Amino acid sequence: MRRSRLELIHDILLAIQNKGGKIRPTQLMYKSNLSHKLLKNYMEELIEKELINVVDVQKKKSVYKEVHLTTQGHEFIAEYRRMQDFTRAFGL
Amino acid sequence: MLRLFEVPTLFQGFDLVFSLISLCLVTIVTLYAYKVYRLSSERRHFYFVSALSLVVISQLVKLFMNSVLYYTSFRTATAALLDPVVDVIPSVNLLYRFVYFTHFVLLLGAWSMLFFLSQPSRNRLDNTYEVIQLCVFASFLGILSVVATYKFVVYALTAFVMLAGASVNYRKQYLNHGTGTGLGRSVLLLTFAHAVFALVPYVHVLYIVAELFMFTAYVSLYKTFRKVVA
Repeated sequence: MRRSRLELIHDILLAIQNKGGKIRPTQLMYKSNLSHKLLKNYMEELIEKELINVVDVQKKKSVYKEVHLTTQGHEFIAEYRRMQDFTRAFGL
Repeated sequence: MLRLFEVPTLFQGFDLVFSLISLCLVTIVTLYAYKVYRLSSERRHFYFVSALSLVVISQLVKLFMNSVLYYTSFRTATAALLDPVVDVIPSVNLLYRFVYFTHFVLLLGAWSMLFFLSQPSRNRLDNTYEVIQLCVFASFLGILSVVATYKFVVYALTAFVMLAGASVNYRKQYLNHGTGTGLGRSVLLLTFAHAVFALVPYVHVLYIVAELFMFTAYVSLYKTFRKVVA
């Protein structure tokens, strides 16, 4: 079944949360079942809305990117869950 | 003065309290439902918000009319407000009919929305057809509400049929998916309330029972909301 825009955003944020609040972009692509192009578009929107932020992490000599979940991102997941419960309870 | 139904003397005034509390409870649920709609932008949420908003407005209308009926100060204020158009309004009966027409049309609209929502999504029509179906419903409800301002039982029975249909749908939904128990319970209580309302013109005291059923339905709706959102 095709996921709605909101479900996709929730899945992206949940994938980050399940990995302890930080994840590499490639891993995120696999965990959220999205194409590179789609994930890039959604990530831009999520960064703009301050739900996630991308930071450069230095490990030994290499530098890689990591996606971090913000406090607002955590709040969004909690609110989404409440919304799902509301929808289910009222049989909508 | 024209009265569509008799409110037992001992209950006069208490019904205002019940209506006021119901109004507050439904308003809280409506505001949260609107928040959910803004987040999801889904049509089912829009219908739910519309149904609840119609209930809120109808409660306001009922509160206004009952206040005018019970309190002299309210009556004087309304008379002063309508003074400039007093020639247009030939009698107080017309005002009463108009207010109750608005009340009926809003409530029947809300119940039809609930009935519409209770149907499985595959059975709902979409886009233009959905709008046409709603327009046809609205026109029928308008006509029925006009008739109901002459015979209260017409409103009660129409609402009863719609709510009974919605109750059956919610029961099916519960058996198939285990969802919709919260709203289903409230709809069932509303069905009982309207079944009793249909008997009010014959046994006046049953008005108290019907109002209590209505109040319990709104409290149950709020309890479901609190369980989820608390």
